[in-house]
Amino acid sequence: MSLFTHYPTLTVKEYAVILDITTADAQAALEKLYKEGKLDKKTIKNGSIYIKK
Amino acid sequence: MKVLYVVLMMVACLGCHGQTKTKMNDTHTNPLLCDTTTGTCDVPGQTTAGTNQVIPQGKKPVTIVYYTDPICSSCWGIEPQLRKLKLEYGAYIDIDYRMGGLLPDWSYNSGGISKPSDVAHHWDDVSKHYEMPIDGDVWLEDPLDSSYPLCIAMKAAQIQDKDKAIKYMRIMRERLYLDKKNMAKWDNLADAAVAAGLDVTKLKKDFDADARKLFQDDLDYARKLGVRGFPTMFFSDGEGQQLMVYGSKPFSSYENALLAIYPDAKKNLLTMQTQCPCLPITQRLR
Repeated sequence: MSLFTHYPTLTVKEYAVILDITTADAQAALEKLYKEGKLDKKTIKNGSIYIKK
Repeated sequence: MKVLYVVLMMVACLGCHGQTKTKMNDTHTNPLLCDTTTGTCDVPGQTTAGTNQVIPQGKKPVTIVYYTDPICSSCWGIEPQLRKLKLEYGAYIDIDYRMGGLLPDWSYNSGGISKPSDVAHHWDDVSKHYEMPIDGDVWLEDPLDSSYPLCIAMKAAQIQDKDKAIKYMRIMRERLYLDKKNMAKWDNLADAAVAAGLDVTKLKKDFDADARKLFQDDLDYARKLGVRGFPTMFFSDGEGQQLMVYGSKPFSSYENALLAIYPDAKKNLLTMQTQCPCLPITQRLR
């Protein structure tokens, strides 16, 4: 979550590159935070962006 | 003064070209598309000469002159690397955002691209290539006539506050690429400015006056530096050592350029566990 202190919005790819993890792992981590109600999400046809609440 | 100059050519190029209106009419090159078969994005008539210009030193050991444009899809594509660079090496770098003027207008017809709607599919492809969300349908539904208003608005924002300006450009991009907003329209620029915490009245005043001169200065400086496309970053120690990274590259390319210029830079390690609690709140980055 603390990455969102620095960047209020992050894409899956950004999260993955910044943390040196796979996009699959980044997607899973962000979805978990979203489902826990800690993030908002905007989804378009080519991907999503996660937004600090 | 000895200038170290390295060009890292694009391998999987989906970079963007910027040029003045005169150059555009002369070359008939579409600035929104690149030749993905050759993997390069050279602008006819442009060379990489001219980089004997020494970039002045900033407050930190390394200055990065970053030539971009809010509608440059490859620049959106390197946001992950750029954000990582700021988090890991932010203590050592000043980034000087310069606007390249990617799309002066639509007064050309080449390469199968003659109108805004031709770009829609290309942007969808770019989105998949970079794994960054882009909805190219903006070019079908409410296409931009030019990127100049966005570039000038960015310069106007920089007059107010450089950190807010960076936030502003990010918001512009999110609204363009994800929300399909025509960010060349003043109302949309103004709404984004509010979201970035800018004074919209002052932004408009600067937009109509000083920001245009600053944008022209950026275009002129680009020619002196030999910029031939976007994204282009010049890493400089202000004392003659300069490296250029052209196009979208893996994070290691930007990191290696920085370390070549300033070997003493120490990385702020980021992990899933720490997620960088190391930077003080005053160094929040956008």
